[in-house]
Amino acid sequence: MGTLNRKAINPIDRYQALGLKESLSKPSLYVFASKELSSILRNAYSASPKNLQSLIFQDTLFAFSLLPELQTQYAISAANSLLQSAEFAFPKQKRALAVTEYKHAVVASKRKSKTNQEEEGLTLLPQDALVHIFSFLDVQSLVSASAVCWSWNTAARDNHLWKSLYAIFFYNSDNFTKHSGFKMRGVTKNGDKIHPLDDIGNGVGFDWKCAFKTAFKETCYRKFKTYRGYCSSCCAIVWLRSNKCSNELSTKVGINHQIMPISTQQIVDYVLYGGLLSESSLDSDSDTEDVSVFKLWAYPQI
Amino acid sequence: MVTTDEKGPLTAKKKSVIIRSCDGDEFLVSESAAVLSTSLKKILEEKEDRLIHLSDIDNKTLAMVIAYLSTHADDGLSDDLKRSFDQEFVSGKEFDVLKYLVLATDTLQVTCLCYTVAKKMADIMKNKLVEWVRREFDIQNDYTPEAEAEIRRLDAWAWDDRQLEDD
Repeated sequence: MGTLNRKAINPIDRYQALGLKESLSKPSLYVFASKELSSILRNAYSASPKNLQSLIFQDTLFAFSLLPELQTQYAISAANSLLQSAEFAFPKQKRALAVTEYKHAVVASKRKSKTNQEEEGLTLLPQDALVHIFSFLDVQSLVSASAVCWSWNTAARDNHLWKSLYAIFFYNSDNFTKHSGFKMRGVTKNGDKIHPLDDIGNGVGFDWKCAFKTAFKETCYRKFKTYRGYCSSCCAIVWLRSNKCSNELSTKVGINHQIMPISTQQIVDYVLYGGLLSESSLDSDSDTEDVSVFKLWAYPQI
Repeated sequence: MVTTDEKGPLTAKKKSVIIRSCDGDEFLVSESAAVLSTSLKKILEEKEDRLIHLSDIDNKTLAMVIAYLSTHADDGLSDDLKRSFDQEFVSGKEFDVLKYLVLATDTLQVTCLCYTVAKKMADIMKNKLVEWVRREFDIQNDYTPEAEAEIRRLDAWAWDDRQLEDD
């Protein structure tokens, strides 16, 4: 860290240590870097020394010039808010230059996206169509889809998708948790939910994918490895291959099929006793021969 | 409903609509089938136009959509038959065909067809390697190698057992 301290005497050195220009060139970091640049423009530009101001100005132009390469809605909106900050911070002449550069970039970006579409036919499905398709995917396939290309990545990140997955995995399962004697870490001893879905995540910035990931890693990974769910509308065990019940009929769109994940033990119970939510679950079966299965799926009572 | 008696040739089929694709071909559709599409229904409600021009749907796709609409508008068919028709409808279709169908249902707003096709597309890509999806769906990989590696690293939680257990 010594070098950093020595280098970071001047604001300009500190600014350069951020490596914004490099980060802008990486598509995965572009949005974040331009947000950072945007707030530097708003909050630090006017107080900065001349040489730093010109550096910030150059980086801003650079950020705009990269826009045609990116082709995602996220990048475009990030660049747009960067432009607003630039209009706010720059003096007249620089402002005009920045606006011109931005306009050029947007035009070039549109032209490129048009040629892309012509070249690839309609490979680029509109985002809302993609999100609709992705709503039928299971967690693994959804994550996999995000690695296909940028436009799929944006769609597969859709907050509503992850919110409904979260609801299925960690919220609807509340019932089954109580009834079967399972304890999840998402539920306190009193049975109160730690994650009441309605209270959190209504904020714009809430990342449901991130929340899902954390909860998935923490609690339910083993339990849900069965990929089986119970649909309360059909009263049937279905594959948890998507966040929808696989019996949901296309002719009856609109009926909400609520499904919740279930464990292998519960499937066994279902086969043996017919009922899923009956109280016949763990205790009576704890002397079952297949202890390894039991151990693998059950969670200790806390 | 205003009758179309004065319009001569349409008298016999006054409950029909003519839909023209972007290729210029015309399809005769019963009104009961056409109104399954929310967009067409709106058009028909707003004006008594019996000829609807769809500038962004080609012959092949439009023919499929109309076959679908007609089947679903047929009151003589049971729900079970309609359901098996749906399955038949999307089975064996290539991704390209489905893609145009999704775009068309998007334009026409046919909720149940959109659902069926989107589900089929999802079923095709389920549990497939990223490379397979790109190849089959003819999608260009627009990631830089670094960006792709980063994305895969960040998303490893969904698969990697060991990593999850280490955490």
